[in-house]
Amino acid sequence: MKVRTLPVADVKFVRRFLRQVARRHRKELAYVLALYGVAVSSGLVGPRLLGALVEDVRDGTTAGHVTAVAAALGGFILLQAFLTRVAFRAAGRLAATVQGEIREKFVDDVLALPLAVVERSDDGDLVTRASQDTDTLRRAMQLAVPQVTEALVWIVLSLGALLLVSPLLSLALLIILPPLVMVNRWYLARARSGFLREAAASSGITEGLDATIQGAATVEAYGLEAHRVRRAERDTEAWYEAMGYTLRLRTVLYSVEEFLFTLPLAVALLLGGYAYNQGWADLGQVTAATLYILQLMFPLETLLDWVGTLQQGSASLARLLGVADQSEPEGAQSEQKPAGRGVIASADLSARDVRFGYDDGPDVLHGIDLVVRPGERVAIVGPTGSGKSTLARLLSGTHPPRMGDVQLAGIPLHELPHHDLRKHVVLVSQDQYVFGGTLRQNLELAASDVTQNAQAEADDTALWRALETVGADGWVDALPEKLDTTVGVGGEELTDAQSQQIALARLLLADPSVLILDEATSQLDPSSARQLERSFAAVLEGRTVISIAHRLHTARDADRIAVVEGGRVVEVGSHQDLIDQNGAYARLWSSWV
Amino acid sequence: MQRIPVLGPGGLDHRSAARFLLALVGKQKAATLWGAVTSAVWMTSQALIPVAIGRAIDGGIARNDSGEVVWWSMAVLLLGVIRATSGIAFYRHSIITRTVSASLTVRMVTRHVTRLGASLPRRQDADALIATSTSDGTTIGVGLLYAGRIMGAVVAVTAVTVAMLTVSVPLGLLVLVTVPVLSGLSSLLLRPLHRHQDNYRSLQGRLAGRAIDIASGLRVLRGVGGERQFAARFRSDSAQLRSADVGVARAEADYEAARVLVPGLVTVIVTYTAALFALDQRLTIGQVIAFYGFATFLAMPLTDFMEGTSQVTRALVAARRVTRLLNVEPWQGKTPDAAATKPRNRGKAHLTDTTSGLAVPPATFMAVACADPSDADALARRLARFEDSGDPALGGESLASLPIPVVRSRVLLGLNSDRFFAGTVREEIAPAGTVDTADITAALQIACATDVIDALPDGLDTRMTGRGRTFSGGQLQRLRLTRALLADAEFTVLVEPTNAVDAYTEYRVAENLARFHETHPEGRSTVVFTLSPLLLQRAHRVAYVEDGRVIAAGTHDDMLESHSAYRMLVARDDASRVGK
Repeated sequence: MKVRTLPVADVKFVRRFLRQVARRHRKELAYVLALYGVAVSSGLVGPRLLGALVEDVRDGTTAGHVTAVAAALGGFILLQAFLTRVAFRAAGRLAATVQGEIREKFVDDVLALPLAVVERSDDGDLVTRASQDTDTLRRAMQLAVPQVTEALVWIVLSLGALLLVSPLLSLALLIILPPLVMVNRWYLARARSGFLREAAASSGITEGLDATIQGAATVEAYGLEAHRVRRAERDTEAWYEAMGYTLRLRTVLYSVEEFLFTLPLAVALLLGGYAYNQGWADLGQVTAATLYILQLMFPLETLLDWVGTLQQGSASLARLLGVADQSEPEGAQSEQKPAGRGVIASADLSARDVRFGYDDGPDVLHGIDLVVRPGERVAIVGPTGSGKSTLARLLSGTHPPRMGDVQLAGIPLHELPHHDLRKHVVLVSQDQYVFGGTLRQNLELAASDVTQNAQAEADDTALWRALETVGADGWVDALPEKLDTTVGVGGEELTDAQSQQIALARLLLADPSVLILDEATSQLDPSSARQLERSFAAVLEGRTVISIAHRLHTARDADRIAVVEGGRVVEVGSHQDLIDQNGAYARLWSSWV
Repeated sequence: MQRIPVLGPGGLDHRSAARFLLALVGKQKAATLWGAVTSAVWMTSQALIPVAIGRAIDGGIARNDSGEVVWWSMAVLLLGVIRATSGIAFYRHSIITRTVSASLTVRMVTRHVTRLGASLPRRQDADALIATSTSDGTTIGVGLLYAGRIMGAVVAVTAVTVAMLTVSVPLGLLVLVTVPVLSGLSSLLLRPLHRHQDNYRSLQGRLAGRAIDIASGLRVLRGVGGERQFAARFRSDSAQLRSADVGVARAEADYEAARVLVPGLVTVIVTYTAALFALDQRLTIGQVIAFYGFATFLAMPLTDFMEGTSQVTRALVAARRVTRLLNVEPWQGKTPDAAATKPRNRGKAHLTDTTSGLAVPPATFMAVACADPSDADALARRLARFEDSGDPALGGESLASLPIPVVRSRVLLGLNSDRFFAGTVREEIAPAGTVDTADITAALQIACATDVIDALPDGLDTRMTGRGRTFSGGQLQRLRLTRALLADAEFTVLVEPTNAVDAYTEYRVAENLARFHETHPEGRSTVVFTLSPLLLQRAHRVAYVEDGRVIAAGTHDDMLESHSAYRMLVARDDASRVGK
């Protein structure tokens, strides 16, 4: 039960993902690369023409010729600008698509994460991944990738052009290759972990701030102001230090690179002077070659400007992909589980010798046996911490048991596809949560297949009926836009009791055959809770209902009561039976009233 | 490397956005100056390289003067080294400035948020607030980074202008006119770019909110099988964001094209004119190349200038959002400077509210049953002065007249909405850090939370998340109760502190609280707003509230007898409900 941050994808996984993306979009990718190629080539004509112009002017030429060359130069620049625009747009479109894919994959992956992983990690981590990391990735993909691609194409083509103009003078550039490769290898070996650390540190800041803001009232009540301020200081300090490390790496890389790229310029001049002197090269060649090398500064500057961003982007990508289940290769989603489809005829739920513990912790359930018949209403009671909620999760198939099994109509729950399972068994937990969106969207979240808008219109009456049953029709009707009012983040704020009513209404709309209610009315005041439970019971006539409650009215109204203590079922029977037995339940009941 | 500067007690001047930015700069004076110097040297040396190359070709290679060639080649190398050194120094400066400014902003916001405390706007704004301090912090940092760059650009442009004018006055003037005009024209493209970016950003914020929903809502989604619906909705929002993204990319493409076009055109115009001048023997070949270089390189500081002004504008907008938050006044009467000292009359004062008729004597365990649950919340908040209503008084002194920190140190309000912060369980339940383990053990026992700690791998030193999702609702509630008890306030006001635990535990907690107050009568009172008969029964005194006023008081048993409305409200078995 340790607090951990969510996982980060390893290099291999990121690479495999990028290869898949490249393969999926290979046409678009080829198009973008080709466009950059042409765009940059047209930019490279400039120095060549200028070199020729210098030569011509020296040898004496007419103003007309100069004008013609200048016009050609202008034409190429216009062409280059135009092609750059087209290439950038195409790259942007591609990046937007890929980003959308990553974003959607991220959400799919998070939705598929084991509950325990999400519960162990702080919100801030997920929040940062969803906001900052996607932002960083966008910056990297929309700006850095095109800029770097363009720069790389530029460098490669410049080298080519240089070779064409003067193979001799291009020697000036070759001498810097070995040290360049060396410094880059040194850098790349360290950069990934450095940038990941930086991203994690920045995530820590959001996490701290998130807690301070969300818990502002608690901070005030307990006088935690100084703690929170210190935490912010520590977090920013840690970020600064992580940044300092990658900055040192970048400093080494850039210093070496910047110097290495100045060197060829001087060498080219010296070599050019000698070659000209010896008659191996003419002045135009020397000029053009020098200008090519000089112009290389631009793509290099771009590279230096954006490589950091690119690296931050890849760290962010690793964080976004990190939530994916890395053990399973892509595509082999466990969606298609053959067994059990359409076989679920009756709603009887049974647990046989179920044992369970969280993570690698000790067992918290020690061999639970429980058979719930269709249409039966069973209440589970027991002291807090005895494992009631855990049992609810197992009975609903949220967690698989360590040993033994839970079966629905004779089929083990873990053999049923999750989505199918939820058509039959639904769990409403004690956690209330209102999702950002309209009230209607919140209500229709459950597994039933109402998605289409046209259908939703017709279902308004069903929604209202459900709201009425849970006693929420009054306040929903009073909302400015009723069912279409935005609630949750950035919208109308609902009280805990209201959220609970929405959760229950959602359940009615999902209309499953087995309902598991884990303290589903705990936030309501006792009289409203009783009222709600009664109207609820009327609607749920004939369904199997398992409710966990510490309000013992719920238990008394049930057909059978199971008492859980210390991870075991210690008593099962009706209210009267158990009172008569004068055991654990009787004690509980007498302390209750 | 400089450190993040320490903020004084007054923090940074935030009377206006501009002042805030200036204050940030002021905190990094030396660094800002260093940034301006390095960027000036960097850009100037860069612009001078073509001059040296021109000289080398002109005076050296063309004349076959190898001495000149070597001399100028060395000059190129030297300029290159200067350029590289200053460029890297500036790069380092920019990254550091950005980080420091963003960090300072986060610190200022945190400080202010803690000062605002409960008067912070409600939850729906929280996400906007977080965005304010993280993304706006970065925007401000980038803006300040460009501030240094702008200063450097001005110096570089001046230096190059002087160099150009010494070579050729008319050509120099030509460059001076064309470059700013063309750059200015292309800066017109920035406005649509920023419009698209803002649109994208607001959509992206909403979508991030959706993704964040998962963190808190996954349990719910899992339970009802809402994953598909959720994913489907996310997908449709994501498609919308994609088209906004494409919009940004188009505007960016236009801007990138301009960045190719402007220097390109300047180069053509200048080179063309220079070549014509050279034909008339008014310029040498080397000078033509030098001008070519000037024209190309001038474009860079100018784009910087362009980009810089727009980034500074954005930083101002971000700073406006930050200062707006920083200028939210803590709710009236909250004077943070008043020191909270131990009152002399601890254990003697009564906590009273004549409006509701509620009176809490010292050293007692009292329960309040409210017919309307919303009254409970309001009255609890009033007694702890989390809102201004009624006329609560402590030891005869009106709470409104006492400094808030004094009230906070004497009256603790514990709500079920209180959260934890990531740390070890020990730090979380005893945040003051001064409590010894024996006291913690005692408090855990009262709250019946000993078993919660025993189940943890490292006991009290186990780390927990802020939301405590690894605990069940009942476990969390007991930990919250432990924390409230450990705060050891003169008055501890709790609202439904046991509504998530089972009857048996509730009974024990009530028992423990009562016993605690009997054995430790000195100095503290606990007020519980509850409808639980178990707590009510064990409380030394019970007040019954209807319509915001106490209409009956006494012991639970007396009131069950004498007050049918009270009996109806709290009795749990239908026998007493119907009336014996």
